[in-house]
Amino acid sequence: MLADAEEAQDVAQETFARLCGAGLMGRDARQVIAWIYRTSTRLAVDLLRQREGRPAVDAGAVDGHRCDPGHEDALATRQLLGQYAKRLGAGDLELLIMQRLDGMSQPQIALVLGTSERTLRRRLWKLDQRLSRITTELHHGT
Amino acid sequence: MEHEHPSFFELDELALAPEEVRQARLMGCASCLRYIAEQRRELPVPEWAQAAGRRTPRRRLRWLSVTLVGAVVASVAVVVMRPSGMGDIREKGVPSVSLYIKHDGEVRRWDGIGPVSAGDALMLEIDSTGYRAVSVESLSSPSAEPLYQGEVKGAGRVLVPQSFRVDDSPGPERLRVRLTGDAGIWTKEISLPKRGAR
Repeated sequence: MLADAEEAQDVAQETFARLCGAGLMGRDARQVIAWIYRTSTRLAVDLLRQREGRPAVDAGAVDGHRCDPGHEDALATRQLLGQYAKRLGAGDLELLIMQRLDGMSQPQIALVLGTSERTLRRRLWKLDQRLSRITTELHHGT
Repeated sequence: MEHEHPSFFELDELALAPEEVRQARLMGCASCLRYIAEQRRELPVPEWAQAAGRRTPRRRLRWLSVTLVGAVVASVAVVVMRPSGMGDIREKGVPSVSLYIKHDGEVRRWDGIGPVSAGDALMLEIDSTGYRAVSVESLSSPSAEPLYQGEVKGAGRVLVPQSFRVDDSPGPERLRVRLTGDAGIWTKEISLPKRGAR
């Protein structure tokens, strides 16, 4: 996602630090996993959006742990992230990562974000529209 | 039948699921099973996590016992000794960190260049609007050592309620300050040359 080992470690460490203080002991494991995904993704999005002036994500530098049909467009999505990090809001970037990079299903994303699937579908529809618009802008060099 | 890989989220859930559920879903996929095995591996809780909430002596930088009275005195000293017109390096609207050095009984603000000496006391002042927590790490050893972690109490410029003493080990003192909060993560690394060190 970040294509930067040091930043990724920062996010992991910060997520763990927050987890230690989040008072989630005794909670359902699924809820805790959702909390970790939500927190770590938001921290990563923050870093992506702070990368103004830095090179975009180097897709070639990223090795996925597997090559599978569900993630075969992961590299393309990472490139998208690099290009769109400054053009999309944090919430849209979060959705983009979960849906297209992590390959999460809508019920999983809804669980992580603590929202209804109906609301999520609406947000995803809007995200698709924004992506189309940005793609057009990029093609026209605006 | 071709195995459709689950998302990482689902894999993390499966790591906690009963073995038969896991096997049925993963269908013997080697890469997924490898990922699950990695997730299930028990790791020791790192020192910095254990240190959260408690204070321990450090190898390179030792805690100073700063009592409440001492902290108040230091705060006053810092305010009195702050030179006017010496701005720290910062962008508008983002946090900043200032460093104060107590050397031979005198407190001065670090100019970003001058060396420190063994025995000097260091105190950090942060302008952390929008951030809730601060952590300070020493980067002088191969692995970052946590020195302080706590909430940011108060708005605007606040002193980190711990000071640190420079030891006589060679090499510069390198600190990393990390602020976290609703505004995200902000980090700043400070490298202080040490007098007499090569």
